Amino acid sequence: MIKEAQINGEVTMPLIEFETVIGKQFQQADKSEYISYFKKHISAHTGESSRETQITNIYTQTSNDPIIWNYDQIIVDFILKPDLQLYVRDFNFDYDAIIHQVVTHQALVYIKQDRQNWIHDEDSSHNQIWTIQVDVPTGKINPLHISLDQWWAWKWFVGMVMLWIKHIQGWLDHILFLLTLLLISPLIIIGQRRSLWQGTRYTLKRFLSISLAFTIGHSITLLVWSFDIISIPTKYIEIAIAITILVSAINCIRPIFNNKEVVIAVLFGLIHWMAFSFSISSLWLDTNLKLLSIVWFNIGIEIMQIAIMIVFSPILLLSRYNIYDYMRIIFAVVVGVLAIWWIVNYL
Amino acid sequence: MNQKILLVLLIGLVWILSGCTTNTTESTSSTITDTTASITTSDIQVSPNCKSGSTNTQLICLIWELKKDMNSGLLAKIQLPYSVKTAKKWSNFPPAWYKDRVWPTLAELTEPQQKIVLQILKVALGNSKGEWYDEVLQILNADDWLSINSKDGNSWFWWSLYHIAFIGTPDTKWTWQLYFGGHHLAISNTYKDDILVSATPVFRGVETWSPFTINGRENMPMQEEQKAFAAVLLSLTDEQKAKAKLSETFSDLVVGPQKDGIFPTTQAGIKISELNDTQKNLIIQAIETYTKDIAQSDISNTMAKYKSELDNTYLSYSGTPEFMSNQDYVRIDGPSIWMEFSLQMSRSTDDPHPHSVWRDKTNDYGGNK
Repeated sequence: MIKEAQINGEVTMPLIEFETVIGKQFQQADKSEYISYFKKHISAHTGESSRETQITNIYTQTSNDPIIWNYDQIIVDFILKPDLQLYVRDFNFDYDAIIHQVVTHQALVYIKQDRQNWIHDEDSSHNQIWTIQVDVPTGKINPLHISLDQWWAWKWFVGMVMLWIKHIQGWLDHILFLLTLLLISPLIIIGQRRSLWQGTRYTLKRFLSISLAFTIGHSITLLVWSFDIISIPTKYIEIAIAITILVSAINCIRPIFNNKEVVIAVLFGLIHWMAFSFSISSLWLDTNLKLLSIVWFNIGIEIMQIAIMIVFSPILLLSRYNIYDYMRIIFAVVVGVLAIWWIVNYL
Repeated sequence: MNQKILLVLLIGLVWILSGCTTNTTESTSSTITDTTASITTSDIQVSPNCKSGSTNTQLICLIWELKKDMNSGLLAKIQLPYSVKTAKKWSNFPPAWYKDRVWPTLAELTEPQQKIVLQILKVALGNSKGEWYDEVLQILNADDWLSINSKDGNSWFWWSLYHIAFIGTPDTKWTWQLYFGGHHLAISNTYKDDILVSATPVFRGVETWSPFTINGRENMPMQEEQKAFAAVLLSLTDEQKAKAKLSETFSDLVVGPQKDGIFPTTQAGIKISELNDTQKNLIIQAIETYTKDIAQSDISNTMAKYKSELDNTYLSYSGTPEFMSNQDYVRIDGPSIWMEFSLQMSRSTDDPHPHSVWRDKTNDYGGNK
């Protein structure tokens, strides 16, 4: 991962190969020995200026790779910090851990995150660009020259758009939720049922206040949760979202909330955008860029919401007629069933 | 009235949605769809129509027999234009890991066609017991064994997942190559002017590497090779061992698939000219476990070549000279000959298994580029 002034790296290798090289079984007690080993075999230089390598963590775990199956791995976290900041993006990577001994071993090098190039490991297909191995004819391991493009605003913007698009498939549930709230906006509650069209001004007022409330809700969420304050497993969030949709669908048929739709919109808005917030918080961005990303994303959501509202507003006019009741109920039932389906799926 | 409608709708929707359950069953071409008994159990006799003439002529006859009832789709897959680029698309990996083999698998052929393929192999590879053809059958049997006994990835192994192809149209004049391969196996026999001009590169490996019984017979492939190489290493004096031993560790071959032509520029190990005649003979015998397994004398000039170059050939190894443990490795590196034999672990079983390759630096793929 390429940051502003340093490179954070993670090396993963089969434990058995490492043990071959050090000549004995891995033990936590020997950690300082391993740290010296890795400091020696992971380094970088640019011209005459070389980098001091910091080994921040060494631990083992079992991999669950679908192709390579289960095997024990050793993982080493390290930091390369050059003397001059400009060398972060242009340097020679001297890596020969294990390979110096097990000459048939190969190391695959990926860039998991590079803010400037908008590479982030949300995708499981990491940016694998290099392989470090022994050059057979010479028998040597050549250092890898890494030279990365500089920051371009448009690249970052494109990256942001790709992120939106990627999340669009997850936006169906938010859109449906929004609609369940909007469809009842022209109506008032009479006893246990809903009325028909109550006039343009009323509709507009409710319509706008609901969508504004939703926006406020998710803006708060994005701000708060993007900064990695608490972490909840995505699964629970998705279930919570599905529940909110179900509740709102029921409310669309039969009033549950008694005119408190605005409050509901704020609350549910909070929940709905938690998932995306976690994506942002997982990006190790500097504060400035994070805020910028949040603002951009918010704008994106707003545009989407406004677009939906414009598209669906003519339908609200139909609430003058009896047919609207059936439409509303059918829609709410469909959404409700979908919500149940999602809940079941996530459990 | 509203409630009845709602109920009906609800039931209807649930029914529709239950039909939309996401059921992604990706079937890759590498999963087993047939579990018929292995073709290796069939008693294969070469068709009497094709028993005369040189080996090449016999092969041409058999291949014609094979192709005559094929549909055009299959023909286009099995008969390819000659190109070394195509010929390089072999591997030791199971089909799930290496997907570039472009030729049909045995599973795509009818049973009579499969039997003709075995006749082709019998003619091309030498058909006495324990010779190359017999060993190939045992390697196929090993895949059946893995399919049943492997710790993981069982669906990647089966006798019918091996590929057959003819690169270049078989003829008595121009260049063509026979390819047969799959997991742990690659055969590249190049013919020209009615003789075999090259039998390399050839990959030979097997897992499991202990005797096993399957498909009605005892199987123990590659034992002969291991014994021969171990005999070579154990014949070395301590001083010679020190010279031959490489400090590096090898967990696989160095010049394996897709590494054609990339040999070390410096030869490592001990020069065979420093060994005595008995030791040299042991080395010849080890090399012959590969080279003698070719069906015709056309290849005998290859052995003559290797023998004449023996004094400039190097022997090296890593690990133990008994040559039975994980990371044991031996190499023969000469002006023309390149042989590697490596013992390594896999995820399928708990014991090491062999990977080996025989290459010729000037004559791989018949010397064509």
